[in-house]
Amino acid sequence: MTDTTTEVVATRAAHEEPLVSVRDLTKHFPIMKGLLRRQVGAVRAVDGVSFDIYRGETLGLVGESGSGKSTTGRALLELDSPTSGSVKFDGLELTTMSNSQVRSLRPRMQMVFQNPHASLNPRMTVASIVGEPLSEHKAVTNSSERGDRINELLTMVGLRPAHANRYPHEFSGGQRQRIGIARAIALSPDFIVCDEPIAALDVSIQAQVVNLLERLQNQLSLAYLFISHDMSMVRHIADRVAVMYLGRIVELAPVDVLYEQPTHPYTRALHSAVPVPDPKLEASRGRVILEGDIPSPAHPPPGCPFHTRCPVARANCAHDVPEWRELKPGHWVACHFADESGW
Amino acid sequence: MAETVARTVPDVDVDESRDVANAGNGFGLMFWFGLCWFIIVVVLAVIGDFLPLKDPNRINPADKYLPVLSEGHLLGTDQLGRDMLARIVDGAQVSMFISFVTVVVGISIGGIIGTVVGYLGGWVETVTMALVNVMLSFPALLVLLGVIAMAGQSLKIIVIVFAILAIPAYIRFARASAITLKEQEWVAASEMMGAKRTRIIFRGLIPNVMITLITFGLLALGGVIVAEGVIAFLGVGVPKPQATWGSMISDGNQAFADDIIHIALVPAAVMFLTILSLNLVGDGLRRRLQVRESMI
Repeated sequence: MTDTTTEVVATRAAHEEPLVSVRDLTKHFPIMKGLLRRQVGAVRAVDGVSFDIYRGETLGLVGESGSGKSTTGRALLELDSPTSGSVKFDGLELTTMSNSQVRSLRPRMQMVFQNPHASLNPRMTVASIVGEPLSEHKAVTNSSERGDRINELLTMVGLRPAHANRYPHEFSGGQRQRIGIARAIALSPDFIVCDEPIAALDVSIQAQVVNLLERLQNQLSLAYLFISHDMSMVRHIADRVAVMYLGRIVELAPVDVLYEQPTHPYTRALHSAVPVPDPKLEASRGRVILEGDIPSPAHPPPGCPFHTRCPVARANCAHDVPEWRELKPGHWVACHFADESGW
Repeated sequence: MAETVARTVPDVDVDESRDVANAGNGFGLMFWFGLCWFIIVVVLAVIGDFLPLKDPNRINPADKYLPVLSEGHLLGTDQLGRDMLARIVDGAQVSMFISFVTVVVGISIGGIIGTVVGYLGGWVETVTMALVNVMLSFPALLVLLGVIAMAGQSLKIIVIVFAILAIPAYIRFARASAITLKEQEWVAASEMMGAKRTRIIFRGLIPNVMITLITFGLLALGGVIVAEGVIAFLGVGVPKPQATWGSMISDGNQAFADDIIHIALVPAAVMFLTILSLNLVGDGLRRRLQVRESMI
């Protein structure tokens, strides 16, 4: 991506209404204890995240396991109701809607799941899996129209219409993920949450599925929330990237800025964990090694959530929560010392 | 890079090696042996009325205690001179009727209730499972004796009591499978597309739960046949003179003292082989289906 496109992405907010607008989204899972099931605490899986997604763009969401990426995706699509916060889809507030109102919006927002071995009903044929959203939302009027649409969808994702009457166990992981994608695009959505769609696939298949997602994005002008822990894959597909840590977004920037000039120490640590395929470079580069584990989201540390592992933490990090601020247009970060360079 | 890779995507066909691995009789010899015997019993039970057999209830004191392989009586006669072969076939009808009705009612009612409460969870599940536990803690035989004492002894009453007693176990079973299944991503995918609960339960969960329940049900058929034998032996089974395998063993018991063992031994052997065959078939299916589950 060139500098100009970075600017376009960065200044888009000023001109355009976002398709999806998330504000202070939280999802807490209560911890119950004792005979009377009293609530003694909560796992703060998602603890106040805010971001926008524009039409036709891909927002990458990265972070290590347990940082709340998938929970964010599920909560914003109302698959699990969020604890608080606001999610606006095309100007409509989802969190206060009734189930049937959300249901009427389902054709416009969909999800591709992580595990292609678990996301397809083993007792249903490919045709009924892909056709289920069509009949559920009465998108087709008769069975021949339904069959045509299923064949069209299968062709779009690189499968053959002849596959329609087979069962999921007859397919490889990559093919099953294609079936899952066909199901997600069946009702021509505007927005798809891709919840680690390639994490369970062989490396050789990952690129194919990512390319398929990109091709469909161009064909159907889809917006993606692409959840992944694969930094290089996100760099390839995303326009903007959000970095999540312990239920919060710590940095959000256009993809080139995030990869070339990361400002949050956690983002830098993530970059440095990606191996460089050049032994000389790999040996000479400076690495940021994080100590310890991600803290438990049931007892998040006070102040900056990252201060317990931060290589540049100072005294005030332990009690002052860093402000979520816009460093440069389109580049948001939550760190007290983000504008100091050369730490 | 993107587009070139996308075009060379290998549109791999179905992995043929899997089909080869499953080709032929992956069930093993014992499964087929069991299936053959079971089919013979079912066919005899169904067409028994049209076979040129003697009347199973015709008493003929002149021919009593004839041994196996006597002329005109392939399996001999009992203490009243009734033809054993005709009675075995007649009893097969009763045994198959009781066991099939019990298992089918158990699977369909118990399976649906269990799947629904397992999926819904919450207080519905708590209340249902409390009731199920109460029902399971009743001694089945006492319930049966009580009902027969009140409502009278008849095939209909026995079938109804057996079926009702069978339901709680299937509820437990179906609920356990539904709880495991509902955490699978394909259920979330159905919810994601806005599928209604009835669709998720009946189109999604129940076909998956039934596979497990049917293999369990095959094993349970044998259990019901034994249970019928037990109540017949205690004299509270299907009223006489209707032949059942259990009542025939009970009759033969009295002749045992006189060293005439075939009257008890023939129905006992038939019952033993039938239950063994059901276990072999159920076991074979279970093993085969577990392989399938792991492939999925």
